[in-house]
Amino acid sequence: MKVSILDDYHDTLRTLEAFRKLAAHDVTVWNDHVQDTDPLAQRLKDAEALVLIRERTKIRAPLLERLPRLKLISQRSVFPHIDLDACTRQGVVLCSNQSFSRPSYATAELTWGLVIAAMRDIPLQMASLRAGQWQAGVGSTLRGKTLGIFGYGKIGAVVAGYGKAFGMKVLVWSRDASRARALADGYAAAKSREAFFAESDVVSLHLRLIDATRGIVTAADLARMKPTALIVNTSRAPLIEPGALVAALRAGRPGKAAIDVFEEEPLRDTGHPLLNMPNVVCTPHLGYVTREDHEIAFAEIFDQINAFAAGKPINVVNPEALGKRK
Amino acid sequence: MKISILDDYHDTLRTLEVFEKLAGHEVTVWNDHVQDADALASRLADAEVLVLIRERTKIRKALLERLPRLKLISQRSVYPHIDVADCTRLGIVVCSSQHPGTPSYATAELAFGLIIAAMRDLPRQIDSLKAGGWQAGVGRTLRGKTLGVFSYGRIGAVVAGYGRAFGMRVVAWGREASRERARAEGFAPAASKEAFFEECDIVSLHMRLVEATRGIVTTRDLARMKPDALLVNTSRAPLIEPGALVAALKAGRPGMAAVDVYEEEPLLDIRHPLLDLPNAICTPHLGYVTRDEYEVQFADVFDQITAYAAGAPINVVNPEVLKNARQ
Repeated sequence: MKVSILDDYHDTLRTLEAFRKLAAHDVTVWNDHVQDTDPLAQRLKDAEALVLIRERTKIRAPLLERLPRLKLISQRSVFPHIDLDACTRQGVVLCSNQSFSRPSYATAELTWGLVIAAMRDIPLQMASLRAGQWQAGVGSTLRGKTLGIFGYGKIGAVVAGYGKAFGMKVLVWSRDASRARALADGYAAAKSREAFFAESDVVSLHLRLIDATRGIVTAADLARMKPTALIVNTSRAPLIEPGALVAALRAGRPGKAAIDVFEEEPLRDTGHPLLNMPNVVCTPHLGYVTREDHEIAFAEIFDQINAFAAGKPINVVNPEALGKRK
Repeated sequence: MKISILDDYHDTLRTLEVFEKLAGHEVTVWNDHVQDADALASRLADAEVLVLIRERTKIRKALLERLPRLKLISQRSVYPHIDVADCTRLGIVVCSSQHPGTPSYATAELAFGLIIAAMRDLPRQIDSLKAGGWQAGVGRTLRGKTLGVFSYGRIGAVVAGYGRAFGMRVVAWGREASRERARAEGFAPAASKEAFFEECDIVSLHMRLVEATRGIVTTRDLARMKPDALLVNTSRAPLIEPGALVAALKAGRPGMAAVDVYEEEPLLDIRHPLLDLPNAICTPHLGYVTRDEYEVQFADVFDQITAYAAGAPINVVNPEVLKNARQ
């Protein structure tokens, strides 16, 4: 099949062992990010299979209508960036495994790296050293502090385990089902949402973005945090009410933030307020971006292509599209 | 008593809860770093008690002989920066808690933070985002990798525990006693020093600097590391042979380093070769620099002053001085 891959920013996929799974196909890899329909339609006009990396490019009806040869979109995890109805209408099969049992350790590890980087002011301290100024201030130890985990799913549970290993008191706020799991795993649940934000020294968000969680962290929640507290978001930006985080940081509660996710990605606006606040550490959505996690994810994505090519598609999201296009 | 405190760079000590222990004493705090004997002699002319923060200022014979009123030096941990024999001769008591049993969690946490920062290239990624470039590359997951702890002492044991919680394979190296202790706590020692450097994806140094450990990590050790391996040093720079780390990083084995300690501190020379290497993350000796760690450490340091003032000194490292101590 003619396979096109979008948004492989660092041409990493060719270097993965999993890439060998595509040996029998005619593969084109695009390294830059393009969202305009015209250039995308041009790039993908011959594509039979389209590989997407996460939610990097939106695939909407106007584009799909201009891709007559496209039979398959293969990706992993959630798909708010794909117009599923338009795919089905056009006979494009979407394969996207969502039942992976392994949490994204890469995201959990990044979260922990951001916690320490923020508590110790590592970017500021590095800049101070490079400027010939030696130390720039005094950090905070994690041990003995309270780690608040908002959302005790797969990743939240892993981060809670890191906090426990670092001698922190772990406090969980979550839906009833996952709260019961947290309690079973030996963690304390906050008495109330108010107490959760007021007591935590570090709050880390680990929720999927769905309608029920959009804006779930409000300005009032943030205002309850301590002036010395840190909020970490490696999940999705819209979990926090629009504008609430920047306003809260300016007001000094919480005192710090570490942010890996933004409303618009890729974020190329160097004037974005979060990038220009001394009390914020920002990274460009690195959560899942490791070679090892790519190996796991793309082994699945490429298996989906081979299964489709063999006439036995797997992880099909829209089975009603099957067989519509030859 | 007249107490002088040196090198409190950020005027942090006054803001600690334990500072109340010095109520009733006349305290002078200096925030800048000065090593020149003339300037120090002038600053400390009236001091009866000198509080030192770690090894920031060297207290040598030439200075000590110009401080006729000094009776007590109070600090914590090791003291290669103090001429203790001259203190004893001059009748100056040196008190320094060796804090048995309490590792510096602040240092262990920083070491792990540097490991993640290096494996995910955080400084370069942060710079790339700020420059409008979005992502700058693809990082690596810790889980499943091999973490080498050299050696398995108080801090090394804590870092090994973090590695285990992160799903890493942890390997220890060090003297027989430390390897034994690692084994007893469920961590495998390496078969040899050579094997240790060859098989580890990350090597983190956790040793005291004594004559036996000076230069203990050699050029040949570093050359055995993998091209994608990381060396972390939050202990002391001279544990590595002079010049060996910069040469090794330029040669590509190990591929990365994260360094918190330098031959000369404070490091104010912005042309230091480590600061220019794209594959080195450098922080300004932050290991013990947290508010929480300061509370613990200065409780000890100030208790030593209070005990001395009450006529019952504690943690005296030169007890022979007590016969002829200055009054």
